[in-house]
Amino acid sequence: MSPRLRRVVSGLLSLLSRCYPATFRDRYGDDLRLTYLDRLNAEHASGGTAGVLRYSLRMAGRVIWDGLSERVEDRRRRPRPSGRWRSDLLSIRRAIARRPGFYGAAVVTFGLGVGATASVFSVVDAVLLRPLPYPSPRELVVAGMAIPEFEGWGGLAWRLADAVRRDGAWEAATVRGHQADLAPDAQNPAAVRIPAAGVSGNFFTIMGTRPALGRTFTFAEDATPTSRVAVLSDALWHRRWGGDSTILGRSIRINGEPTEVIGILPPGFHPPEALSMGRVDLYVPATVPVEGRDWDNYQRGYFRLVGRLAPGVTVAGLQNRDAPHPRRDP
Amino acid sequence: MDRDPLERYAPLKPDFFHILLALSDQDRHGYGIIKAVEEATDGRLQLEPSPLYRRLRRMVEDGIVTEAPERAIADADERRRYYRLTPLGRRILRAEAERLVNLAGSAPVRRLAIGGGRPR
Repeated sequence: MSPRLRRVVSGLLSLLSRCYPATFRDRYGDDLRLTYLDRLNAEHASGGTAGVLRYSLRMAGRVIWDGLSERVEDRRRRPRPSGRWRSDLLSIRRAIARRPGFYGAAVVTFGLGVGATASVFSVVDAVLLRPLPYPSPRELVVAGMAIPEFEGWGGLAWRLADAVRRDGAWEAATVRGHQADLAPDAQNPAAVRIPAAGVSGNFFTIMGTRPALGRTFTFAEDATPTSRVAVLSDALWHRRWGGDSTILGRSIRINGEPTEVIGILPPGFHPPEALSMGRVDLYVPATVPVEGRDWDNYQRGYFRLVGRLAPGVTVAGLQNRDAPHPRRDP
Repeated sequence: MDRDPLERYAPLKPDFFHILLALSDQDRHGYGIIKAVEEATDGRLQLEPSPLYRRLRRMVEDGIVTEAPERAIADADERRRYYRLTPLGRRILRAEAERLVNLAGSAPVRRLAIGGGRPR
C-alpha cells in the first residue's frame, strides 16, 4: 500500500473512531487503527487498490456500527442516579411555590444580566472581534477637515477634496453622505427616504469590494455629473425588491430623477465607521448633485476621503504635507 | 451480572473460544490473533478488527485476558498491545474444550457425524 493511501485510510480511521466512546478510543483506538492497517495491507497484496477501497467501505460500516453499539453498552454499564432528576424537579417546584416573588425577581435579574452581557458582547464582537468587510483594513486611512468652531471634524469642499484625493501620496476616494428620496414603483407603493452616499468612481476599488451582482461605477460615470446610475446595498435590495435580480438594469426614481440600478453590494458591506456615515443603502457617483441642485462647488456638498497610502508613506507624513491647490475648473 | 465468569461464559461463543485458543500458546496482538484464528479454522472464521477489540475489551474487564506487560517478540511494534490469557481465561477455555469433547463423544452426535440415524 502506498504511503499516501495509507495516510488517507489512517485519517479515515481516526475520524471514524470518533463513533466509539472516549474511554474505548483512548485504550484501543491506536491498536484498532494499526490492526486495520495490517488488514488493509493484506487486502492490497491480494486485490490491489480496488481491494483496499472495497475493504475500506466494509470497514467504515463495521467501525460505525461497532462504535455506536459500544457507546450504547458503555452508557448501560455506567451507574445511573435513579429518580434523582425527578426529586430535584419536585423540590424546585415546592421552593418556587413557597416564595414566588423572590424567585420571580431572581429570574428577571438573571434575564437582565444575560441580556446585558449579550448586548455588550454584540458590541465588542462588531467593533473589535469581527473582521471588517474589506481586505487589509489596517491600510485604510480616512481624512477630513478639522473645524475649530466645532468639536470633531467635517468634510472638504468638492474642489479641495478632489485635489487632496489626487495627491500622489495616497490613492483616495471622496465620499459624501446624504439622504435620498426613493420614489414609489410598481412593487413598492410608498416613497421612502434612505441613507445614501455619493462616492468617487474608485471608491469600491479602494475598499477592495466587488459587487455581488452587476458592477460598480466607472471613472467616466464619476466625471459626468449627469450619470444617473446607482448601486444598492444588499439590505435595501432585499427589503424593497425581495432580492429580485431583475432589478439590475431597471430604472428607479431617486430624488425625482430616473436612475439605472447597475449593481448590488455583497451582504454586510458598509462604509468604514471612521467616516461617521452610519448605514448607507444607496450609492451614486460623487459628481451627482445633491437633490437636483446645480453643478456647483458649494452645492455638491462636503466630502470626506478614504484611501490607502502609497508605499513608504505614513499617516504622519501625509498630515505634514502642504495642502494641495484645488483646481479652478471641475 | 455477578455470576461466576465460568458460568457466564459457558457455552463459549465460537469467536470468544477461538480468541482464547489463539492466546493459549503465546501472547499476541490484535492482528496476530486474527491471523492465528484464520489459520486454526482454515479461513472459515475471519475476525474483523472492530468486533475483535470489543470482545477483547470485555474479556479484559472480566479478567479472562490481560494486557501482556512485556513483548513476546523482541522486535515487536512498541505501539501495539499484546494480550495474554489469565488463569481464569485458561480455566474457561479448558471447560469449553471439555464440553465440546463430551458433546462430540456423545452417542447421538457420533451417530450424526458418521451419517447414522436421527438422534432421539
